[in-house]
Amino acid sequence: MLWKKRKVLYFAGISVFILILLLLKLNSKPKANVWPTSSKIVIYNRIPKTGSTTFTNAIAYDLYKENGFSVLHVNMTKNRQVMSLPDQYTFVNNITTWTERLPAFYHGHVAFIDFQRFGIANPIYINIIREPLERLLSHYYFLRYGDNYRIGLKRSRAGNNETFDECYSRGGKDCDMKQMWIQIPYFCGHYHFCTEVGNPEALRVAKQNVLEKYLLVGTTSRMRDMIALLEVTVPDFFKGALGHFDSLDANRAHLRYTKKKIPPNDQTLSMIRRDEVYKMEREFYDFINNLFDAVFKKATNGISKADDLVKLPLQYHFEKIKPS
Amino acid sequence: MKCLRWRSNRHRIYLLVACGALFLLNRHLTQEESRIDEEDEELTQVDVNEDDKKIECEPPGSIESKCIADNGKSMKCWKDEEDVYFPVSYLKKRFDMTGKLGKDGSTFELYTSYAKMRSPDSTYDPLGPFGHFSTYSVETRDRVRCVSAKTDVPMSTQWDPIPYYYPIQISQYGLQHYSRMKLDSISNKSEASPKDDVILGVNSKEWKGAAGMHETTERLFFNDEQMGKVVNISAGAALANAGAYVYLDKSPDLHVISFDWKPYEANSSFTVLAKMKQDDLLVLINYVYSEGNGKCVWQEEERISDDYIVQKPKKDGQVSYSYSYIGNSPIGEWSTVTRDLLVDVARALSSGDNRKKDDNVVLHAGDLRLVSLGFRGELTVKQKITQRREQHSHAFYAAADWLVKNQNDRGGWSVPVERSIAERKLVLPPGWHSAMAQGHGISVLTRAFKHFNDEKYLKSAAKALKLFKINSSDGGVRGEFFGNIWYEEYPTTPGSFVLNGFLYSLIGLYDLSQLELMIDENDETMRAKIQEAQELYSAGVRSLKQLLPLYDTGSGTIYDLRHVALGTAPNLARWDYHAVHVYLLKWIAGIEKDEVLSKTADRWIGYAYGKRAKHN
Repeated sequence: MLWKKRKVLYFAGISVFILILLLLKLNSKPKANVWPTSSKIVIYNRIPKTGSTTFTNAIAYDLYKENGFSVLHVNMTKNRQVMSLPDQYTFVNNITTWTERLPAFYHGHVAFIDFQRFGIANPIYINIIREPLERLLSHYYFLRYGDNYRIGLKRSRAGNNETFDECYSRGGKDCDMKQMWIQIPYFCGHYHFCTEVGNPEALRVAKQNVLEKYLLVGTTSRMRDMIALLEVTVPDFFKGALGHFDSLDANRAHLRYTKKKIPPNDQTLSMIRRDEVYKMEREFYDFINNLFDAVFKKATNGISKADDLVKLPLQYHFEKIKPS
Repeated sequence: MKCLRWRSNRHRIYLLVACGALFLLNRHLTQEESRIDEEDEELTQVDVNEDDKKIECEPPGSIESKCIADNGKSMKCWKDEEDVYFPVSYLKKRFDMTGKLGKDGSTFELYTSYAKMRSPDSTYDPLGPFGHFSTYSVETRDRVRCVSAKTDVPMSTQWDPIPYYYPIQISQYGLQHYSRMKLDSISNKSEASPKDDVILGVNSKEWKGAAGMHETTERLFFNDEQMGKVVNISAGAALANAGAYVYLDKSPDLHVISFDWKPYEANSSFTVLAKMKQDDLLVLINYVYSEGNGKCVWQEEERISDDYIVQKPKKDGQVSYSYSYIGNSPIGEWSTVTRDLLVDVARALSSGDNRKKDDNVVLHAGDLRLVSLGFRGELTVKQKITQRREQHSHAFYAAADWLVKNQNDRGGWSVPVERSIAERKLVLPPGWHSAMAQGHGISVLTRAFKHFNDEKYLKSAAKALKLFKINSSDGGVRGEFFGNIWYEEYPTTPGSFVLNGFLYSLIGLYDLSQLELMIDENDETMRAKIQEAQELYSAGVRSLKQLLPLYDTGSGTIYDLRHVALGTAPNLARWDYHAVHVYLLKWIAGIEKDEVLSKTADRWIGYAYGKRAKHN
């Protein structure tokens, strides 16, 4: 009798325990979903000839194993940088639901896609840009002489030895200032006016997106500072990034080196600096440069040294915590 | 041996390790703090240095003591067995002196005058260099806003923020360049033997054009009956367009460009691109048919979007300035352009809206080099662009021509801005004349008459005499001081009797009076005018001899005699003006071969070295 009673008691106790466990599990399930998938995605919509190969390798392909994320390249058909609205939908849908791949780092030559328009929070957007004339010169000579990265590949203008000056003074296509209109459209996004060369609205929207949609936009000339800042602002992905970047030898820290570049003469330089398209692209570059500089300065407590960034203690703490 | 056993010592070792860790942590933290301290020290470093200096300055073997001068505040002095040492800062103020440490730092020198006393080197040739004006640099003075591209003469902002023509400045600009030209011809560096000149643009291949982009640039080469090889250019008129351009010579010495062109429309313009050596800054100097709101040079605004207009900062690597060219050459006619880019770039870079005195940019040969010369709009250019070192002849010509063109019917060059002196007790409303302007003008014109062999200059010089006979109160320049006539630099009522302006006007009168012997033709009215100049000069010299002692304080000179009429303190001449007095007095003493004037000048030189007249 006693034994039987004990048995019931055991049974009841175990049942209650299981019920509690079940209840707890039910409660904890929605909690695990509080973190939206979007914060487990970093998108780097890289711009050609801004040092993006070096950057992608340093922060993604060299770190994914250690920090446990996936890296995926978005290959755009025919190197077009814009998608149709339906394509954007499937893109947004694909990358936010492909849970096996989360957390994920996506990179590709694609203009900014606004996830919010599809009712989803934006992922973490990052980017780096380069002084527009430097970028164009790099592109111009890259097409002619290639780089030290993919040596065998024959580039589209191989064998053409025209200098940028010669091209510019005869009004050639490769050095046309329309070629300069690249970085603004990448940030402006998928609106029709974004690719309209010299459109002031495009510049305005690009600036606005940088402020509202991007976590960080750095510059090629301060790639190391950018990496240091990423390490402390998105540590889940980029923990140890600066240390790794610093350990790279000179070749790997500057992966693709366009073989031959002839700096433009003063006359060409002067004409470009008078060009409206250049002036807008330059204005955009300066805007980002100033923004990055201010953020970096603040993060390093005014010292502006990347090494201190990782070591710097938090500049806030919690207190007067209740219930204690 | 029990004490060495692990079990019994375990806790002690733990404690030791913990203590060690805490100690290292502590050291780490305190190190961080000491780094901040270093920064603090850097901030206070200035004070430390100052203390060092004070210690150095103390005379060895002396003791600090208190001293007082003229019932003033007590000062810190030093005293040794033989003498008492006062602070130099006090001596400078009390005795109006200048002092500085020698280059090796071992000697300290006190000067009474900061200005160097000079005398004319040789006997004066009325057609030779004008005084020591070859050492002048009118175009780099901070009050010179620009050398106008309309008239090729300087414009002043001394008494009015809107640039205006100040005839004295224009004449000095002309005389400066004439004097350099004369000295260069003596030392065989004449512009007439232009062996260093570079001629560009003769070959059609030298003419480039930015085709394709937004504007097409057409170039048509042909032979003009009158001008020879020319190029007809048709290019977009916007300043952003480089147009048709020629690369210039890179030699930094060749900063003057000259060419002939014929613009067909008011949109036509030309631009010189220059590069600064110091910071690679590219400077565009545009010459445009625009009034520019009364400015003679201004920075171009950049229009980024409809509501965003800025003047680009220098850090962007390129700045663009425009000079108002309207009125220089008539549209549809050939004219010669000559510009010194060293001057134009310096004046442009000094042209900020809220500029301070320190913002005056002075450039020297080598500070920049020219890159290109470009043309836009509809125009024809002769295929001969000359690049040279100097433009003395052209600058002199521009000044003389301005004088001829801008002389009013009273023979005067009036000053278009108000001038007030003695705390507005004496005010000259705009449109006043100056004996110094008249005298300087005559000095330019007599030289131009001989140099260019054109009688219009002589006629203009003769016309300039008229105002010397009209009283200050009637708009002339003639004043009177107790029966002695005076030619007034500032013809105020009552008179101000400025000495240096008077002396310069005498030189002008002398220059014209000496022309008599050189006129071949029998022009009676001209002869009469030259005689008139002679008489005005002689009357002036008589007054000078009478009144000169009034300007002598026994330790320096007085700038003017305003104190006589106004009953104020005398207006003592600054040392640089004292030097001008000395030079001019020696100049006139040389012309007059007058011992008294010469000895007075020698005494005045003595004042600059601390000599003083004797007490009674």
